[in-house]
Amino acid sequence: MPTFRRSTIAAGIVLASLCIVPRLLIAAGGARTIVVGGTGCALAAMEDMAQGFQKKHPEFTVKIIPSLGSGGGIKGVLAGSLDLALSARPLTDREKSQGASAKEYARTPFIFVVAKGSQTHAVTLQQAVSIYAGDMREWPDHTPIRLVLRPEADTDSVLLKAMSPAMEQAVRTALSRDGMLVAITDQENADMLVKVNGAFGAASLAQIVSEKRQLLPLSLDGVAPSLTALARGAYPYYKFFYAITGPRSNAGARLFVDFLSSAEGRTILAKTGHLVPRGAR
Amino acid sequence: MKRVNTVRYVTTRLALLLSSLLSVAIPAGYLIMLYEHQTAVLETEAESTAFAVSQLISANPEYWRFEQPRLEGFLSQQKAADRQAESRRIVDTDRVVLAQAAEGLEYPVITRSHPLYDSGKIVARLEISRSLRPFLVNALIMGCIGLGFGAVSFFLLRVFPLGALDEALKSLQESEDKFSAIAATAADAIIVMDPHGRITYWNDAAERMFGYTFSEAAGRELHTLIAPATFHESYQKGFSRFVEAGQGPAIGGPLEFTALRKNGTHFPIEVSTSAVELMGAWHAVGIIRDITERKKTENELLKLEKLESLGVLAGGIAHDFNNLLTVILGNISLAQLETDQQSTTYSKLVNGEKAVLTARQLTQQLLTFAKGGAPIKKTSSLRDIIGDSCSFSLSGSNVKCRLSFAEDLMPADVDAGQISQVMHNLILNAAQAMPQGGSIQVSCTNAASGPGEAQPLDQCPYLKISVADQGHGIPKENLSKIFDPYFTTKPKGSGLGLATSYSIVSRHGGYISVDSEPGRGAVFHVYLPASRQPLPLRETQARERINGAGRILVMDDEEAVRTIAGEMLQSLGYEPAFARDGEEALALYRDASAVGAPFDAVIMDLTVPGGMGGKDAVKKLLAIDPRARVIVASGYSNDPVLAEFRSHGFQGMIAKPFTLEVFSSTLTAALEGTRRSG
Repeated sequence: MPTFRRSTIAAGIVLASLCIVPRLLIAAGGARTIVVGGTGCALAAMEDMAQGFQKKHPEFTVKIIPSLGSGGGIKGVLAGSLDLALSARPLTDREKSQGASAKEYARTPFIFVVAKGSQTHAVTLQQAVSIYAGDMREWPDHTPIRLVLRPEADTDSVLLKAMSPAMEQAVRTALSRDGMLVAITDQENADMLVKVNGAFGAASLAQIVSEKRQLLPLSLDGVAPSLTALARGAYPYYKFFYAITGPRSNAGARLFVDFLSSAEGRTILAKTGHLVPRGAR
Repeated sequence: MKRVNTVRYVTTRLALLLSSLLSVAIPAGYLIMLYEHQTAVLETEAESTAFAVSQLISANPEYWRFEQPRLEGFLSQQKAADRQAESRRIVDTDRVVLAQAAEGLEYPVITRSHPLYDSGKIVARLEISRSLRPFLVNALIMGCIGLGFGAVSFFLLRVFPLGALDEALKSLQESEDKFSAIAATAADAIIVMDPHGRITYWNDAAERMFGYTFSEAAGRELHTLIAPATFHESYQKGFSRFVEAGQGPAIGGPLEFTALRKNGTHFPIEVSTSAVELMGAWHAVGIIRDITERKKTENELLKLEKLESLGVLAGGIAHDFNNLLTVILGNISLAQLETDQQSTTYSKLVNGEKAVLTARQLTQQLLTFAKGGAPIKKTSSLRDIIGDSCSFSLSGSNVKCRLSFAEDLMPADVDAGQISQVMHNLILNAAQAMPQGGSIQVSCTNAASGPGEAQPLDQCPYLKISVADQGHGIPKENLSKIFDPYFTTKPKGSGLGLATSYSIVSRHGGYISVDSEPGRGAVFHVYLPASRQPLPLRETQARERINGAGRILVMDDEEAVRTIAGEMLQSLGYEPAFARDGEEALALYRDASAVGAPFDAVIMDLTVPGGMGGKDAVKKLLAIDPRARVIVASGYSNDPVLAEFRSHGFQGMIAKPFTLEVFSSTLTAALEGTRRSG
């Protein structure tokens, strides 16, 4: 009896230890926190993702910090200040050499938008080029078009310029004009597009959906910018989302990346305007 | 000129300085304003950009440092395309560059920064740099423009206002030069004195006049320099009054003083003083003239006035004396008619007649001395005139005269009395040059200029009279002065002898000169035109009486002259009548003509004191009877009317005193004209 009782007590202590230590670790924070940051258009979806992740892995706390941009997020990861970065661009060779690794976890249509309530629902690429070039300054109802730009090095500007050589020249022309509206962050961009009367600009469908923005995605050359059209290849312009980890990222970050590819994660992504690549699982 | 050059130098440098300042001020001002403008712009931009960046920081204060690409894009976006090259960067408090949008900037570079805040704490600074190189280029352009402005301003300053100043100074300098030239060349001393009476200007004439140079005179009081000690006190009193009021007895003038030369000699001066107020003080300007020569001239003029008075007296005496001589000579002539020519009485009467004639020459000399006058020329033999003059002048002298005449000596048209006076003067001078005695060589020859010889007279041939002495000669420096009036080297000489001789010879159309060497005596040469007329018969037959008949009216204010003239006429066979003056003569002539017993001739005295003289009476008489024969007679034998008696309407002339022979021949000649014309 005494032996049994000692064995039982010992087993109890170990079990208790197994149960209590993680709780203590959670209570202590620090090492179990996953700090996530990066491109702003991905952050709103990550809030939902974090809730799903923390339910599955309650020992981790996911901290989403405000928009740092893709580059800022990658820098943060390489510096060890972030555990996971969300990037709208792939890694550069230099970043890779520094130990960063990227995993594409979703795509989303890169779209032209206007504020909801606008009479405009569609635009052609030629029109878009004219708007950026400054040749077209009014909507058909003669209300002024107020173009919202992104900094030239921003991923959105890069994607715009990649649409066509004419668009590339038009974007450069727009950025060289004085008095243009230039949004620094994705959130600021979305804010301007919502608030500025007659605003026209580019954004990602994922941001609009995840942040529930009062913006109207415009059909481009007759194609509505839906995930279906993107999946079908009918809508050719999209934005990648990469999950970036670095040599100092913690284990929780890798678990979080795995969660992005999980069924639960894919569901969240799909709900927030993301198209998960087939091979992402 | 030195002052003009100095002012021109200064004004040119001043214009250059102002122009240079303008040249530098334009680009420098442009650069300073541009710098201040750029500084303000950069500060404003740094502040506004930092505000935007601070908002980004506030949105993500813990991780904003990783937003380098975004920040750099933002910084790039802030720069407008049309702005010049600039660099924008964000540096943390450790000066680590967090983000930058840099372009290559050329020096010089201006940088302005503004802090970046996180909740009021400075976490970094935003720096904006911009190159000033483009502005330097502009400043260089402005420099060129400034140089252009500088050149234009230099031109404007130099040519117009400074040019005008320059011109004014040149005018002033010219004025000063003129004044200096005038003052330097002035014959009068010009002296300027300051309010203390000290000499501040002293011209060249003053140096010559007083013997002090300007450096010796400058700063000294004038009266101590040039006024004799006896005038010092009165001078100081007068000058004190002048200093107070710019007035005084010496202002204006001219006043005459006696001045003192540096060598101690005194001389008379005439001072004209004027007052000039300069800088509130009275300065005196004195013009001083040396009146030594003027004083001499005044003395000479005084002497001349005395001589003129004496001449008038002499003329009057000669006239009266001639009248007396006329009576004496007439009576002698009449006495000779009544005396046997072989008797001793007759010879005595002849001697008396000669003495009267000699006395007549004296009266003629007196008249020439008194009035000068035109010569009463008659064709005469110089042989007689020269011979008589020598014997007369050297009478009682220890000097002998050796005469030499050409055998064929030509006659000359001369006034015997005046030429006698010339010879008398020359011989007397020659005699006085030989106080120890000696001989005078007098020659008279016919002469004519040979080929290449200088011709003394325009008229040819001429007669040359030479009077040579054996005295000490005439100093060379006096040769040009010996014919000047009042020039004399004799203690009691009048200086009129040779001057009168010169005048007489000139009036005869002749020329007088002198050759002399010290120690070898002097030779005077008198050139007179030779006459082409033969000697008149009257002269050659002067002793012949010519009787006549007819009624002759004698007009003379002297009763004695009327009487003797009447007796002489009666002795010659004429019937005389008498009048005291012109009015009476005219009345008698008119009455005689009216009763059918007209006068055959009228003898009129030229001068009637207090009544109508011959000159006026003859005109009236000829108006009554144009065929009237009128002879003028006068004791003023050198009166111009006698010389030109025909032009005044007279048919003959007779100088008092006259001999019976001269009287008869003159009367006969006049009456012969009546008969020829009748």
